[in-house]
Amino acid sequence: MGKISRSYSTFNRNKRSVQMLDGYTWYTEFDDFLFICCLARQHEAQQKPSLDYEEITPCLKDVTKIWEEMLDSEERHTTKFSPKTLLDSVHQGVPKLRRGDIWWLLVEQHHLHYPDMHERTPSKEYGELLKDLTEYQHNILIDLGRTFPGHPYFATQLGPGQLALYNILKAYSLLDKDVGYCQGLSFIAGVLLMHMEETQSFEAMRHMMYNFGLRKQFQPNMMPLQIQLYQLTRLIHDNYKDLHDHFEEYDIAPNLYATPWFLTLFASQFPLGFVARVFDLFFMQGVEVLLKVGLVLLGNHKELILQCRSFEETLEFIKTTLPEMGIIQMERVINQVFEMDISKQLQAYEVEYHVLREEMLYSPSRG
Amino acid sequence: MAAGPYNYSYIFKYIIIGDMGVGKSCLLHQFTEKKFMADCPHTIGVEFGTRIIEVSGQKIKLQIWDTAGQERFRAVTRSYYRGAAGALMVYDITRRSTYNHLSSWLTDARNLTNPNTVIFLIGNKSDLEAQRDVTYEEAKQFADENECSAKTGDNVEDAFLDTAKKIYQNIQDGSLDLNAAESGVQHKPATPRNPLNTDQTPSKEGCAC
Repeated sequence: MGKISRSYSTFNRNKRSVQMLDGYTWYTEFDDFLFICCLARQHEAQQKPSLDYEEITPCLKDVTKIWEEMLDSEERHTTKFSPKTLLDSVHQGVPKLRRGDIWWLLVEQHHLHYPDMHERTPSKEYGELLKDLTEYQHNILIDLGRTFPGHPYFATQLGPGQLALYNILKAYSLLDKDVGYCQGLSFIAGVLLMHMEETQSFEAMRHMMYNFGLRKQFQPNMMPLQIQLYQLTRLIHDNYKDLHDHFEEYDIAPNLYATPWFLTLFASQFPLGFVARVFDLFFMQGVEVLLKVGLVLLGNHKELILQCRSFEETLEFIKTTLPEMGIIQMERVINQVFEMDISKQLQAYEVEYHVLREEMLYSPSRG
Repeated sequence: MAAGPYNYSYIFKYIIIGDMGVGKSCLLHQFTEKKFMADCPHTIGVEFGTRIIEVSGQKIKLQIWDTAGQERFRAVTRSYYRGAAGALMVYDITRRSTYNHLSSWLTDARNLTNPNTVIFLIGNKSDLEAQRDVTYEEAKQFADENECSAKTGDNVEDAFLDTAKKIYQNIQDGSLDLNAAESGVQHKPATPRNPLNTDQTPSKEGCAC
């Protein structure tokens, strides 16, 4: 404990002196400090975050047994389990205390099923990445205290949670130079860290970002995010025309509410139990889960949204009231997502987006 | 959730811009809720808040857009600049870099808003005097500004109110044309605010034109 408190006072002193400088000239000193903190941390008892969230789809005993058999199987690293078994099991529930292990199993299974894909993913090791300095350090540090600020594991300034988060985000920014660090990523890394240890969390994030293409939406021009938002608009239009008209009437575009949904996998606004289920599904189906969840959330609350009589009221409902829905409703949302297949529509809408964009860019009547 | 009486004559649209971590969301929260939000998660995309204020006896609803500070989010937030009557440009008085970046925020604000948009400079975190990195005098040379603290609430009201006064002045002296597209000002909205109380009728039409 002595070491930690000494580190804190060093931190404060360093912070004052570095603030006199601008740009990135100061980061070496700061990195040294973080390194010291990390060392200090290793002497501390490993503080595991507690998973005290309310579980959606509580896992029944026989399903838990199926999971445990897979997890404990000697051949799990070499045997491909059938995708259907995995999906059915995820559908029936994931026991909270083994969730991190199960996510890791799903990463491994994906690897076994699609080895070519994994070969294309940059493979630089976590430990190696951590040795370098990142130009995003400043941005990452600013967001550390603003990621799950109410969660005990992340609330302490430069406590174990924040340091692990820092390491992962730093390593990722060095692994993926196109994306670097983007706001939103810290929530994804945070959810992983609540369930898995640091290195594994990083590997799971690498997997989500590259093998499931999640990284695209974080790229600096944010075009893939715009495409996803367009896809959501179209899905609303095709499935819930009255809702679409309501949004048109009050000039509510999905970037107003769905940007944080997509960029944090719902983690910045929704209860952790729900977010964990979104992650369960993401490890099976990737990015399209985000669109499905978004669409079902809106569809299931359609009547209440239609009752909102102004721009502010509608937006307030979606941002505040909707994430407070009951556990049964959340379970229903997740179950509906399991039943959906929208991959064809998503492809068609993406093409449509590009066509429309070109038309807008090259239309002679533009402006 | 109870909506107050429907009694404002104008809606002014504001945007809040500035670097990451300068306290944009905390300012908004302090202004709309009158308290400091210590554990405020960072803004992803845009957030939104409203409050009704009074200027020269007129009730005005401020509709305030709070934007993510990271550079790449400008691709997403730029569309909110259009149609803003007021732009609050925020820096952190304890971090010089956030002050140095103001010129780029100002360029965006100038290019993307209309010529009448009132741009107001705010130096936040004035409670951290010991860590001050930008002097008031220096910032004052750059623009008319207001130093405030989202933490203590000092001067936060003034920053929002002074901007509204300026906009209102522009309406009064005719330099801001309410009929122009994207003026950022609406005169008396057409729909009642709270649909759940259907018995609640809009207050009397206050059209003085």
